[in-house]
Amino acid sequence: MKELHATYGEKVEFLVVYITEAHALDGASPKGGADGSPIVEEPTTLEERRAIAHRCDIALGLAPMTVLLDNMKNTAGAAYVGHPDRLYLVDKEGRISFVGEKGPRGFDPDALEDAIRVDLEMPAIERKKGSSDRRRRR
Amino acid sequence: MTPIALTALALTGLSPWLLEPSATTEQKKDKKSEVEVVAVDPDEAKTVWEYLSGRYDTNGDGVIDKKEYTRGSEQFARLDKDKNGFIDEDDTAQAQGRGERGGRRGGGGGRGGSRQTAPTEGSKAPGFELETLYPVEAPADGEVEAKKAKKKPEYKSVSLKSFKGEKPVALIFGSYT
Repeated sequence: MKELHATYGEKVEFLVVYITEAHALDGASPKGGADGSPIVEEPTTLEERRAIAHRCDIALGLAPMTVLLDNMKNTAGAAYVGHPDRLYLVDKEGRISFVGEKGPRGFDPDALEDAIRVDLEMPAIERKKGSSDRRRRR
Repeated sequence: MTPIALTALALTGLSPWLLEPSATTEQKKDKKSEVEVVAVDPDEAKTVWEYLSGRYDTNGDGVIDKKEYTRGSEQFARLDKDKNGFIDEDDTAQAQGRGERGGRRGGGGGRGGSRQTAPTEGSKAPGFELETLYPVEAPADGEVEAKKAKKKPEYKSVSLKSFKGEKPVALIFGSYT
């Protein structure tokens, strides 16, 4: 994603929407602790969410993109069915031009890039073969 | 364990900030130290039990009872796996194990009910207006910055529609976990 942001960040606004935890330890599908994955309780206040998002940024370096916090009613996450993770492209006119598959399996930056290039009327790129887990998509 | 999307974010990107502390380190430091104030709780706990006991086992008897746990009965019930009325280390061992096996899929019933379908391509993008993670950037001027530091940080709200007619918007939904 950072590659994409570096490449297209001037022409496309990248917004990270920090939504409800996928694997809060007090959530419905707990995880964490094993192999160093983060241990997180589902935040009950926006400040708690902010603190977790901040830890996330420290760990993963999201900051070059604008990071937004979903509100505590999870309005944006719900409207976009963003949980647990998902990508979208919204065109200049405010219409959705690309809907990513549900993550983590369907999380596919290449597909987003292709959609961005269509939106910007740039020629499609040939994907390298064997770029591991990156799924090719027309 | 399944990779999460934001991890994918970092791994598929160049991740220059994390991997290469280079010439721009100083600038980065400034930026980070500025936001450090926001970090309330970068817990060092290695296991779920360490985390929970450190937080809630206030009398140090090795179990967390309902009085010690401050986050509501629904969460308590979820954490008290064997339903003996206490959260103890056994409960969290189970929680951790389940994550690793990853056998259970599509549970998530506690997530506000029915499974919804994502908005479709071509439809109008649902609007939102949300606060940014970080406070509004202080101007480079030193004096102004010092003044600002005393005040509570202000967070800007960003709305989707503010980009309408300006440029396309890529949305990345996800969480740390």
